[in-house]
Amino acid sequence: MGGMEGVTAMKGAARALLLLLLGGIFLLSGGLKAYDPGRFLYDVQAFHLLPYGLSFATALWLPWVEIFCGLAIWTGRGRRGALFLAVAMTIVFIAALLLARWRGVNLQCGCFGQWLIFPNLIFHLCFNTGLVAGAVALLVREARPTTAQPMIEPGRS
Amino acid sequence: MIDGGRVVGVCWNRFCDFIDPMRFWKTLLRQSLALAGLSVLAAVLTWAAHPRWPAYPDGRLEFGEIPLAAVSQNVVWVDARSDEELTAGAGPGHLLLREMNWDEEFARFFAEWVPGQTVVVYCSSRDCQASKQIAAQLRRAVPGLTAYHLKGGWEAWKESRP
Repeated sequence: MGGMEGVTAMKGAARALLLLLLGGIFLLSGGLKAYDPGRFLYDVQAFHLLPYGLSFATALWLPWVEIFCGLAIWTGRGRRGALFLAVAMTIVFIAALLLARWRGVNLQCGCFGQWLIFPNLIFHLCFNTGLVAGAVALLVREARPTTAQPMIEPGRS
Repeated sequence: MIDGGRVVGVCWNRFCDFIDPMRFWKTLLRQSLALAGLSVLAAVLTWAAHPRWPAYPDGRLEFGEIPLAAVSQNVVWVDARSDEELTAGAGPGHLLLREMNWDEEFARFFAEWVPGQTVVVYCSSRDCQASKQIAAQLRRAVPGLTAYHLKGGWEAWKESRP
């Protein structure tokens, strides 16, 4: 029983750490963009994938989605939706990165302003794939039925 | 001892799963839409009140154009202005690269440029074409080189200096 409890505790700690990391990454990324949205508008345009009007709207809206997702992941209120949005946004971003590179556009994503600049595309893709994997793992955990909780308090029956 | 409240909660969840197997996905969709909607509100506020947000047409970039605010420290500056325009002053350490002296100045540029360094080209004003042409010519001449032309040209660079 002790072994099982240890495994459960480790799983719980890993999940908490993953939630902390994922929420933090989205909060930091969104916060830096929301602080200087004009700069982020240039970063969005550097992909040359969207017309100017859509780039304008994306640069206004995306930082706040990231901020609210980060907060929801941390607080637990609306976590399922936040994790789903995190997965969707990151997959779209990976596709945009690959498409831009395929079209010969060499760029920095502007994800973390000047704080974190990825040295190359492979590193960038690995980081984002890790984010998707983490968010999917948490989403799967969220999707599990809630019936695993014990109905009888241990040691008192 | 049986915890009555928890039993009721678990039974309620089981009942809901039984009558509505799509409950998880519906919750997920509802929450996603709520977060996206909340972000729309915040975006409208940003548009209306953020001091760092450009007016609608001001932020537009052409292909290969870069604003001064987005230029990082470790770049090679290339000056594409003519000799007459250079009398207005020149940036320290900026390399000359013009269409008319291409062969000679390109050799000098290539000796100075470190592979991997981004190149930013500017010419005299907001409307000049030389920087665009030189940046394109550099991209063709050196495969893998990242070259931009500066939005606002020399004027923008000069205005940013104290």
